[in-house]
Amino acid sequence: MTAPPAEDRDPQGAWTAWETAEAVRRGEVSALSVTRAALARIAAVDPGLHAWTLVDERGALACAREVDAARARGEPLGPLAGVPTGLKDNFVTAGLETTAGSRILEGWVPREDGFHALRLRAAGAVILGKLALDEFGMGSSNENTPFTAVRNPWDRDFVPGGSSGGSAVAVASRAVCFSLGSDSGGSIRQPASLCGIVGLKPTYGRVSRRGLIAFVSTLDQAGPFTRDVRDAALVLGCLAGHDPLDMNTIRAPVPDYLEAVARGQAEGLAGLRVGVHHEALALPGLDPAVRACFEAALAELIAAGAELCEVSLPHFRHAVPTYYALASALAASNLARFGGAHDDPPVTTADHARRSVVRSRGFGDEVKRRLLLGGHVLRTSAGYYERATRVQTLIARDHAAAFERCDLMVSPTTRLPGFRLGERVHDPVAMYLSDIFVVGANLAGLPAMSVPAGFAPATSGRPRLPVGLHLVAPLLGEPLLLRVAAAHEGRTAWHREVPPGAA
Amino acid sequence: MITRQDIERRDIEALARQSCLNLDAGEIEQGRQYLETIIDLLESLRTVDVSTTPPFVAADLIAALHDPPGPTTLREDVPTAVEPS
Amino acid sequence: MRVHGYEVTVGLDFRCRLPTRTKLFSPGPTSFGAASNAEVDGYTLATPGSLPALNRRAVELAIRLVLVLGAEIEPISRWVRKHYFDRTLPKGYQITQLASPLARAGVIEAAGRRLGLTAIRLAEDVGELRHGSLDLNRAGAPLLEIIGEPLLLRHGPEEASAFLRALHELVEASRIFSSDLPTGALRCDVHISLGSPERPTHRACSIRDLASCAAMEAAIAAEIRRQMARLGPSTAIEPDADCCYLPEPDVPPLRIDPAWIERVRAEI
Repeated sequence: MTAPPAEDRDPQGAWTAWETAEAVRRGEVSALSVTRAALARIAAVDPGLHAWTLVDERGALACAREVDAARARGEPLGPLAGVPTGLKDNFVTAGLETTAGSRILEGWVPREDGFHALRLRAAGAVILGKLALDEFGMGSSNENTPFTAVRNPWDRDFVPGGSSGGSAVAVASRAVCFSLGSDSGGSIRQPASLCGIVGLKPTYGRVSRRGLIAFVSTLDQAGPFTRDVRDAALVLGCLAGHDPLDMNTIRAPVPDYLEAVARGQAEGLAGLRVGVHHEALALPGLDPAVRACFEAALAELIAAGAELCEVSLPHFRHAVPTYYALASALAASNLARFGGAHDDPPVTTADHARRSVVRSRGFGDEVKRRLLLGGHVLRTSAGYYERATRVQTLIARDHAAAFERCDLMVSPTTRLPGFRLGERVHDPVAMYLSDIFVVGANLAGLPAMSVPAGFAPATSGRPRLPVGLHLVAPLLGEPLLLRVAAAHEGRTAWHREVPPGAA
Repeated sequence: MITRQDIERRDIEALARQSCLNLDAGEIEQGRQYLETIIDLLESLRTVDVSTTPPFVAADLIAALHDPPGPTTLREDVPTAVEPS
Repeated sequence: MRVHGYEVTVGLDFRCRLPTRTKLFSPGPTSFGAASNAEVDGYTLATPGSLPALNRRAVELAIRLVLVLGAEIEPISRWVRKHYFDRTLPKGYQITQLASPLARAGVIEAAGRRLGLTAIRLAEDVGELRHGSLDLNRAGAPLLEIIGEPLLLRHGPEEASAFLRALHELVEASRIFSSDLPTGALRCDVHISLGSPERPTHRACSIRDLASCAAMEAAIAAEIRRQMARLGPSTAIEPDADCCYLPEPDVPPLRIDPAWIERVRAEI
């Protein structure tokens, strides 16, 4: 499908969240017209991409009218005033069906918003609907779904990545300028890389997990997909902070993330020590085009004044097995609740036999496999779970030691620029190794981002596909991440490229 | 030491029961093959010397980041509205 | 006491429900005697996305009772998830403590004997099935589990129930309840094993949720008869066979500093 002529394209499709909110606050455009245009863009681009599992036109328009009414009353508008958005369907949203990408929750309509929906609404954002994911967050391609698999707007034969595939595509296709995803083992950063956009995973505990359907409780974090770095800072600022109802949130002030972005744009990176993760670069199978983009990105950082050094993460090759031991055990635990009833009067809560039937019908194959694996990890006398948490400590210490030699670590986000639907579905190990560069940051609790860093050129074997640069900072190092990402973005124009399947 | 030969049909049947899942014969065999493959992946964890390494506790990481420092805040015993059923 | 040459050992696990206004891990209301399923909030229903938030008052009442029992409070105690499938447990796991409990040691004295306590744990309660009907009011309520050392019965079941009576008095003395203990506030599980001098004793069967001395005595006597006769159906059940544990990821370790303990001690 060729892109419509430029003059027919909705100009707001190119606006960032920051620009949209500014325009709404100044009264240059109504929130209602912005939302209508976004809904039209979804209708135009999503049919071939399947990012949206639910679009709530009526609710969105009502919300947009509310923003306009508040403005007319002279009330102050929030930082995301009138900005349309979508949430990965594992975020609990009042009145909007929330399925976690699973048949077992089909038809569940929460009565209350989770933390994230509450914060976004408080900031004035307009929630248009929910976005597709790998079931319960388990996957790296958005193929683990009973619903329709999501397509990459850069080439519809290719996966968008996962598990937040729908959230990435919604932004990459220009339907909305920001969306929310969740990241337990790379599920924001990997799809951001494959879709050519910005994806940020905060420090563990920086953003509440209340209302995020639990998967890997010790690693899960919510975070934004955006097209530029400033928007990532803007959205993060609306989500970060202590939540007394999530005991694992950090009770510390939230810095001015926009200021960090401004610094990155205005100043250079003189004096910054950037650590190049050498085991990642030495990995066999690292695509030459990915390597080339990575080296070009390094050249930009050097030109901005940074110094490179090499860092080692000695337990790097244990990160994926560690992650899957922890993730499967915690998933088995967190999914034990499903098969009963959640809203019905409790007298209908299912007994064991009925619960087995409901679970067997409701869970997809990948989920069932991981439940078996999780059960094995928890029960076998080999003590895998405890051992994995000890290896996790070693991985965290590796990162801390690396940060004594550098301020920030970089690597490519993925080994390959992408893969086709169906290519890895029957090879779980190959699928799991998609996360090899990104999962360490989850295990160590560190903030990390993927930002657009160029394209792998078209070859006879594959089309032109985006490549991402992966940045990892120390704990609570989001300002540094944003500063470096902004500096890199200012020197390149990758984030302005539009996929052919975009609005 | 658990090796791939140790994953048998009855192991999967037991795990399925413990996970509250009914699996048909095909699913049990697929599950068995999957578990064998992934156990191989997990085996590398046994080669790491963790004898002097404590388990990672995310909450301790967070506690060290509280600013100002102090223990985790506990919830006050004040009821909120019950969700209507 | 020997029954046809066998020694009778009982393990007593007491459970005292703490009188807070909200549940142990959620701000949903809790009380004694509410209408069935009137106190069921999102957390209790295991609503996806819900997280535990520990009730400070529950910890405080627990500290007070622990001091009255003469036990030692651990400066750090840790939470676990105990997994099993049951209608009374919507989450599929119960948050409790295991290897690192709130307190250790302590003693209950009754009828001239001393029952040492191995552990005192904070845990959330589970729902109830009454005549096939599920009531989740009690699910999530704060419990203090008081675990007794194995007790060799010398005379009869009344030695065990004497400790229930003594604990009842200690709970009243602690004044964590403003008036008489409500029905069901104090319950007991009894684990009964018979052994002979030739074969060492081992845990055999458990009877759960006994709420009165009379019920305890009757249940112990009946179980002894059943084990001796090896006859038919029993109300006793095997110890937890299929459950497994995981360190609770959503609740940080509980740190209790000496200053807090002293403040509570001063109130007693």
